[in-house]
Amino acid sequence: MLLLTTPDYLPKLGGLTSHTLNVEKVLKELGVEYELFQWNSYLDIIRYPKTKLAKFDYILNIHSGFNMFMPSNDAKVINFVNGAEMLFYSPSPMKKFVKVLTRKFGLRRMAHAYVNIFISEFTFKKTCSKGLRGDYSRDIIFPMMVDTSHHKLNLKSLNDPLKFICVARDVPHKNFAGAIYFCELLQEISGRPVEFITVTNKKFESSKIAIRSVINPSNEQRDKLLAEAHINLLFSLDHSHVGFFEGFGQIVQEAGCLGTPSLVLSTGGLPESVHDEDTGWVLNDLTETSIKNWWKGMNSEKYEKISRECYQHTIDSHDLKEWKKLFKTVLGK
Amino acid sequence: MKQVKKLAVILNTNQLGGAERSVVEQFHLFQDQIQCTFFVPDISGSPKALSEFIKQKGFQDPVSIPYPKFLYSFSRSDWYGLFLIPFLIPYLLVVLFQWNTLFKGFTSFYVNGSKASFPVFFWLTFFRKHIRMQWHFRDYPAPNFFKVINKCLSVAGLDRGIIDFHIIANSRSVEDALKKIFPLYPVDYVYNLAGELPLRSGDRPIRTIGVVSMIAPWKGIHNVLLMAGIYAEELSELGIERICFFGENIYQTNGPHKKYSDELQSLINKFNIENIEWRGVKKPESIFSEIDLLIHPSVSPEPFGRVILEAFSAGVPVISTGMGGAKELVSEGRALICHANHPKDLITKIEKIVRDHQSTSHRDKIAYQFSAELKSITKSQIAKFIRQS
Repeated sequence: MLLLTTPDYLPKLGGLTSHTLNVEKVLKELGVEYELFQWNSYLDIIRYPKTKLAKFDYILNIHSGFNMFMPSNDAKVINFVNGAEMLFYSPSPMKKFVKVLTRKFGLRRMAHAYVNIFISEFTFKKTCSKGLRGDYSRDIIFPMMVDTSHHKLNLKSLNDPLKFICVARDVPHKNFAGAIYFCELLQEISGRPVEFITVTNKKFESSKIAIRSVINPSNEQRDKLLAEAHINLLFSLDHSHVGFFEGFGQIVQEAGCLGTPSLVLSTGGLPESVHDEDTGWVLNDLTETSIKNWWKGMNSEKYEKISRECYQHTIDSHDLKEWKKLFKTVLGK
Repeated sequence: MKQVKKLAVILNTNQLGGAERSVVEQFHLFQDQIQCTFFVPDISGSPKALSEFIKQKGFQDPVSIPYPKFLYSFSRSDWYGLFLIPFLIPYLLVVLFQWNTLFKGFTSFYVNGSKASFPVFFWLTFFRKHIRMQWHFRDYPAPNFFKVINKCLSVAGLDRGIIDFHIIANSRSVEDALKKIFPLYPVDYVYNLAGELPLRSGDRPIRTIGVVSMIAPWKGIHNVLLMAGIYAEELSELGIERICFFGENIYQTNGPHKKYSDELQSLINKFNIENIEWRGVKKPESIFSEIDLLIHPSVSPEPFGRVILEAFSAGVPVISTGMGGAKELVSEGRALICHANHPKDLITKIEKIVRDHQSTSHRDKIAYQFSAELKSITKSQIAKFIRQS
């Protein structure tokens, strides 16, 4: 019997909700009996009845940041460590104070876990830098998996009007400004019209390029837009100092299974998600020189090759069935 | 009469590792031209295997030199190692006086690795000026540490003219890193040499996978075990009977490698990973006559990856993460590259090697040719260095 804990679930949309739904799907396919517990604050976790906890053999935490508040029990704890929750930071001074104060306690809880699953080596090293003593018998690095059941290789031609897309929350570290700058510069150096599709909760504008802002679309609408775009942009910045970094970039795989490769910055776990010049591209920075050099090296043949590689790699290596195998091993089924 | 040069080759360690094999193989090619004596630091651990290998290659018994053990920690430290300098200098001077007798008569010095290089550099600076010192880096330099060292030498006026300093890297990747740190010194690279190895028959089915490395986290051994645990069924369907790990923890310093062996065993027990064999240290001839596929799973940039070259020489197919200098070996279609920390990608590559026999054969031929060509390239590079010494 397994307790699955998460901070986000339907009807709230977002990466953690998708992650939770994907884990649920895998648990169902494995025939694992589970209960879902969605928490909104650490108080919800503290108040979870200890008597109820006793029936669980495993506790699987989607967001491991607050698992320290779970009353202690004999269940084997499995933590999914996505990234920024290990930075012990909050914009609220009070919450930040609490996080810093309880940091050692939280890390001790992680150290006593049965398995910690880190979605990237960057996330693992970051957590170790915050005080976790790594242990390779407990700490596993396993890339993010997504549902690729709707996969389709939507090949686009570079001869068509260029379309770039960015799907993310509108928060500073997602760097929509950087993506707009990229598109504007590319239009200038390529001499071709560029359309930038933003999928977020806000509208963007530019005097130089066409921006199509799609606010809070359904998953199907979002996938249609991802399939339509030539390249998915994810220029996330490392804002570890204020509690944000990109652990892996799940959207890279969500775009990949539709035949849309990604262009990312070399920050966080992104270079582990996108394999440079193989399944996409990784830029060291967003300077004019970098962007010009990238475009100089681009041609239709290369674009098609990378699109195909990206698609094949995603459906071969990033489908939920790999989580099924991982959980089978971890849960001993 | 042709003058035979008298070269002192100072090794980093008294253990026989890839770097030691490589330097002995390199100078073995020039035994008729140089009189080479190997010097081995007098530290804990048995130097028997190293001594035997050196004698096997036709050289005289290596000479033991006094060497302070704590220099290991110093040379592996980053900027914080600089705080140790005031404590090291008096100790060093005692050792260096003893070296005067040992190194009498040698016309040039070849230092294999960083641990030995510092005392040699200071000894040459204070006791034997205008002698050629060739410093062969076997790893990436710790950038902050060496930048500060470079600055200190420059301020003290010890950086130029006092000794004839030549830096050698073991790959283009390490060469690039060294050129940034030492812009004023000549920097070259020479690839390590693999010895002669018996050629594996291409018709032999792939049953045994080998991982050949020291037991350390940056070598990514845990990822191979994880793959073996998660994809046990797939490995069985492919006919893989065992995964053999050759190597041990050869470092004598503290660090993340210290408990790594225990953690790996715990991982095996936790997930009931089967068909794993720990074979310890074995000679390359023995390893490569046994294994059918080499996995090189390093998760950090490798300065070179000698074991890859050995596999090429033996006709053993290779899957590598291809990071750092290793990329120079496995590119151009000589091996399959897998993504680090990606068990599924690794099993996919294993499947490709096993099932696509034709492509695997073709790749092995290219790799073998490359290893043969490399020998003559390395020989001419070392000949150049010897002429210059």
